[in-house]
Amino acid sequence: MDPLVRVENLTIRLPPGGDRAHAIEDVSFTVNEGEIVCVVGESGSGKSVTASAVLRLLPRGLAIASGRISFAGEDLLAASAARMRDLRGREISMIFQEPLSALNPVMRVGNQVAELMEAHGAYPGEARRARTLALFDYVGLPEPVQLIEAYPFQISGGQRQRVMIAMALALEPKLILADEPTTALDVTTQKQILELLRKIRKERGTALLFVTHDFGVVAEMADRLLVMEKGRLVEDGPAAQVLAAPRHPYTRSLIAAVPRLRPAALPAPGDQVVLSVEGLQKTFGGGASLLRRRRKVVAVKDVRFSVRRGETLGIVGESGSGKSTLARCLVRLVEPEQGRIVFDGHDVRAISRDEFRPLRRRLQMVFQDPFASLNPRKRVRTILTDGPRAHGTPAPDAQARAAELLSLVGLDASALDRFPHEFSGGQRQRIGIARALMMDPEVIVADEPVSALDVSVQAQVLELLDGLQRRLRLAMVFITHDLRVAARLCHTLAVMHRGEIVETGPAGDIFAAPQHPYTRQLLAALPGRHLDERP
Amino acid sequence: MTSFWRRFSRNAGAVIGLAVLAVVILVALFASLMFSTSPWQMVGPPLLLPFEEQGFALGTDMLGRDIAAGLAHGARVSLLVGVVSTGCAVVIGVAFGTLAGYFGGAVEHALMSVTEFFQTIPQLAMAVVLVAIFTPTLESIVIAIALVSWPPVARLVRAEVLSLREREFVEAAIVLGRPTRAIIFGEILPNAISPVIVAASLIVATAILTEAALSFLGLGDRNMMSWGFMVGAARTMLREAPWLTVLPGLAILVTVLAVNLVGEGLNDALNPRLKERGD
Repeated sequence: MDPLVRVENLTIRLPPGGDRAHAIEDVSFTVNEGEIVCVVGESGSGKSVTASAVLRLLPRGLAIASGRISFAGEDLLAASAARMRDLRGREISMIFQEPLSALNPVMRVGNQVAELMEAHGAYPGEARRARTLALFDYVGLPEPVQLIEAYPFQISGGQRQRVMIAMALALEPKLILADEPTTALDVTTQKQILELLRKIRKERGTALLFVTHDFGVVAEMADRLLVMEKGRLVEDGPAAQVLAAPRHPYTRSLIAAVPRLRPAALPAPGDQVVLSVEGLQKTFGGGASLLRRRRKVVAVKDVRFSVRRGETLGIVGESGSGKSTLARCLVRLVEPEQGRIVFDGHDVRAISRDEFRPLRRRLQMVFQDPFASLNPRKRVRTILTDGPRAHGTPAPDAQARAAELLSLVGLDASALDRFPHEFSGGQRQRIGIARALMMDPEVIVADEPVSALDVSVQAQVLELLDGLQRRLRLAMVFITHDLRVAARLCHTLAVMHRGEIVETGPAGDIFAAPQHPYTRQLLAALPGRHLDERP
Repeated sequence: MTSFWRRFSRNAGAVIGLAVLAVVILVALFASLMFSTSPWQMVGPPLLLPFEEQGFALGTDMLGRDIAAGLAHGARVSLLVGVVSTGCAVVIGVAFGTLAGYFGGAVEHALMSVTEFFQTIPQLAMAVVLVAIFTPTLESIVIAIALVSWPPVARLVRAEVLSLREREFVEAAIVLGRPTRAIIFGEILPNAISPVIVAASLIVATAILTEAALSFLGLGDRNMMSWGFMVGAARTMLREAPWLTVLPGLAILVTVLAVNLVGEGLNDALNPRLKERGD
C-alpha cells in the first residue's frame, strides 16, 4: 500500500543571517493511512516547520529549497494555490497548540465549525447544523445544543481544544496535523484529549502527524517516532523500539533527560524550621463596583506548611490551583489577607514593607520565564550586583561574589560583561539562580524555574539546583506543575487543588500511595508512565 | 549603537529627513552670521522678486525686509520652540505616566483625571488662550505648547509602565529589596523610553506647527522673526506677491516633514520588531 504522505529530501531555507542556513534539511519520511506519527525534538529543531510544510503553510521568510511532498499520490509542491485551499480542511486539517488564539474570539464556536463546511460547500442547509451538533457530541462536548452558541472565552481550555478537533474532523480528512495540541493544557485535560485523538484514529482511520516535545505524550500516542535535531531527522522507527532502544546518541540523550517519577535519593534535611506558613489566605477580586459585583476568586485558602533547612518542598498543582500566588505571597509580591508567614522568628506579615526590606536578602526567588526575568538593558554584572549593592555591600565585594557565583552555576566569568539576550534560555535561568544566590539567602522560592526550558536543558538546571541544595543546605520551595520534575528534587510534596493543599507528605509516599482522590487523578493522568520503568 | 544606525539608515526617507533637518539646524545656528542685520530691518526696495536683485536671494516683502534673513531667523524660533516645549512636555508626561502606572489606585485615578482634563480641550484653542493670558513672549509660547502636548506622553508612559511593572525582572528587583526609586529609574524607565523618543519626535513637529499657527494669529513673540508670522503678515498680499507666503510655508512644510521622517526612522530603529511585522 502506498503511504498517505511521502516527504522526500525536503529542505527548507531560512532567511539569510540566522544561526543556520536551513530550517530543515534533507528530511524524508512517510505517514501511512491510520498511523500516528510523532515528530519529537527540542525547540528550534524544525519539527513544527516540518508539519506546516505538508500544508504549504510556512512562516513568512521560509521557502522550500528542494524536495518532494506527496499526499495520496499527488505532488503537493506542484499543486496550484486553489488546489491547496481545497485540500486544506477537507483532506488535511490542523490542530494548533493554543486553541484560544486559533479560534476567532468574537464568533460563536458552532459558527466557526459551520464556516469551514461552508467554505468547502459541504453539508448545505439544515444538514450543516446537524453535522456540527453531531461533531460536538462526538468529541465529547457537553450539551452541544447550548455549546454551539458559546463564544471561545466562555468555555474551558480543554473544551476549546475539543472544538478545534471537531473543526478538524468536520470534513472527514485523511490526515490531521497536530502541533503540540496538548502543551497548553493541564495534565488531566491532556489525558482526555489524547484519548479522544486515539479514539478518532481507531474509529475513523484518520492518520495523525503529531508534533510534540514531550516524551510522555510520545509514549502514549506514537506508532512511529521521528526524532529531529537542528533541522535534521536523526531517527525514524517504530515508537516502542525507539523508546526502548534508541540508536542515535541524540535520541538517547533526550530520553535520558526525561526525569523519572521516582523519588531521587536526596540527603536528609535538617531539623531547624526556617519558614512556616499557617492559615494563609488570598482572595482576588470581590467587592462590588458601581455596575456589577466582581467575581471573587479564592486563590489561596487556609494553606499551612513548613520548610526545614536543607529541605526542598515541592508544591504541585495544575494551572489555576493557586501555587504561583502562594509563591508570590511568600516573598510579599502579593499581600495575603490572612494567616501567618513565620520566617526567622518574625511574622513577616505583621511588619511593614520597609521593615521587611532588610529581611528580603534571606528570602529569594527564582522566576519562571528566563526571558522576562532579566532586564534586557543591563549587563549581567549589574543584574547580579544590584541586589547586594542595595543592601550596602561595597561594589568590589559584590563584583568578586558575582564572578564566584557565575562559576558556581556553570557560566564563564566573561558572561559578566554581556547582555541577557546573548544567552540561551538555560544560561539565563542560571543567571537568575545566581542572582538569587548573590544575597546568601536561607530560603529560595522557585516558581516553575524549568517549565520554559527544553528537556535536556531542564535536566541540567535541575542538576544544578540539586547540587546547590546539597552544598548550600538551603530551604527551597519549589513550585511546579510537573510531577516528574518534582520527583527529581523534592523531599516533601504538597499537592494544591483550587487554592487548598489537599495532600502533603514525603515524595516517595505520595507517589507510592496517594491518599487524596485528586492526587490519584493527577498521577493517573501522567502520560507515558511506562517510561518511568526505565532502568 | 551601530545596529541602531543600520536599522535607522535602512529607511531612506529617514536619512533624507535627517539631512534636511541638519541643514535647518545649521541655518538656525549661523543665522546671525549670515544675516547680521535684524530681519525686521527694512533693507531694500519692497516686493522684490526672488533672484531679482543681488543680495536679496529670496526677494523682499512689502516693507522691504529680506525674506532670506526672515527664514533663517525664523528657523531659530521654530526649532527652539519645538525642542524646548517638547522637552517640557516629555518631562511632565513621563512624570505623570510613571507615577500613575507604577503606583496605580488613587494616585493613578487623580493623575489620569488631570491628564484627561487637558486632553479633552482642543490643543490649539487652549494654546491660544494660554498665550493670550500671559502676554505673548517666547517663554509663554513654550509653556503653552508644553501644556497642551504632554497628555499623550503621559498616557503612553502609563501604558508602558503598567505592563513593565508586571514583568518578572521588576518583580525580581522588588524581591532583591531594591528601593522603589531605583526600580523606577533603573528597571522601568530605561525599558519604556524608546516609544517616548519616537512620540517626542512627532511632538516636535506638532509644536513647530502650533508655534507657526500662534504667530500667524499674531500671538508670536514680537522680538523674534518666525515663519508663522511671515505667512500671517503676507496673507493680504497673497495674490500680488504669493512668494511671501509660499516661501515660509514651504519652510514649515519641509521642516515638519523632515522631523516626521526622522521620527519614523527612529521608530524603525528603536522598535525593530514592529517594523518586521509590517514588511
